Amino acid sequence: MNEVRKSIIIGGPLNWPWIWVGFCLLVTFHMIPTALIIRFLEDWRPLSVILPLWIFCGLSLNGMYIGYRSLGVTIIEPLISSLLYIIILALLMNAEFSVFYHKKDLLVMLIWMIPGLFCAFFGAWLGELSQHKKEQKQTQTTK
Amino acid sequence: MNQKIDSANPKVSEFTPEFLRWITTTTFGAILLVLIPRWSYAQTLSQFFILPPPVQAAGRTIAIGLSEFSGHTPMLSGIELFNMLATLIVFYIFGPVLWLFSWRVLHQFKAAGTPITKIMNVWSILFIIGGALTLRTGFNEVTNMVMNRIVSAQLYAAQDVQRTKDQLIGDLITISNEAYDYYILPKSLNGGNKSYEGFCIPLSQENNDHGQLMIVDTQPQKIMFLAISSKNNLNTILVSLSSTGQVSEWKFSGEYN
Repeated sequence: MNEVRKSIIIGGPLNWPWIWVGFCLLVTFHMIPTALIIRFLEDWRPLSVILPLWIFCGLSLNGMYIGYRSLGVTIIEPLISSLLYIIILALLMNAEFSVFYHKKDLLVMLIWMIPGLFCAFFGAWLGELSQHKKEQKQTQTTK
Repeated sequence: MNQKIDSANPKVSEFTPEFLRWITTTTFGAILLVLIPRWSYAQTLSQFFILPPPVQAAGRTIAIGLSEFSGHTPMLSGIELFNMLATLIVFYIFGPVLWLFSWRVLHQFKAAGTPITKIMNVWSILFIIGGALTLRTGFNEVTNMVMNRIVSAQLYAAQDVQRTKDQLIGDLITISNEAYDYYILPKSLNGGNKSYEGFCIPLSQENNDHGQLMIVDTQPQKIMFLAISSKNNLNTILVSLSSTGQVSEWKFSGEYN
């Protein structure tokens, strides 16, 4: 776990391919289902609860996947790709619901970004933890 | 194990250029598919440029019909013609050709052993542009096809219900006329002599392709008929015939309601 902490504190060069791949994965596998959900289940009452859950779960899973699969510690990368994706998602929401008609709505959307980014961060951290555990197991088996 | 801190060669990518090309293509395709049409609805010019040709053609047909109806001679403006042609060329010809051609070139490079390490070379960019356009068009067409099938099935079902309803109403009017004939005729002419009592629906009219007709209640001055659809027993029509021959108190149930 020291490596994880060190990486977050020290920083270091960002793994840009993973940032791009994370963003692409979110757009391809999360945005199309989200658009379909919004389009076809717009009048469905539980959608107001399910949609945020679906968005936060998607961001967490993406972070977890990047954290687990990438070499080294990648926690900032899912955060950046999630931030880019949230902007795209906000544009989608705006196109579907015109949520930015009032400035207040834009503020609400920006506030929603914070838990989204937290989810991505938490997912990446969990992914890194499981990757670390897997590596430890492999090392023990080799010894 | 920390690549950022420990790795001797941090520039080594974990992804092949092919993977990055494909994932970038699907991403731009998804953005084109989901976001661009939504933005375009607000702007007439880009709406014509983005909407698929069949939708544009349908829109034009309606616009021409309305224009003719209001006494104007319909004329397509140059910009409209250009946009329709541009949409056809870009989405249905230019995109797939560009994609397949650049794919072939990249494949040939690979087969010849020419290293294409950079993701952002010209052929890769063409591959991404062409692929995004093609994927967007393909996905849009497939979903349109599926939706068209669903909508046409729903329309057919709705029209089928309406058709059966109209046929049953026709049957009820016919049987009401016959019942009123029976009511006004004297007993000597096989009539009811100012009474509906004794009237029966002829066997040939009791059951047909549309449904079933039956008498629910018979009183001297009033008779009630019930028609049940042959396709759905819950779809019924209840009607009452008065002594003046007036068909009234229509009651529809099920999908007829």
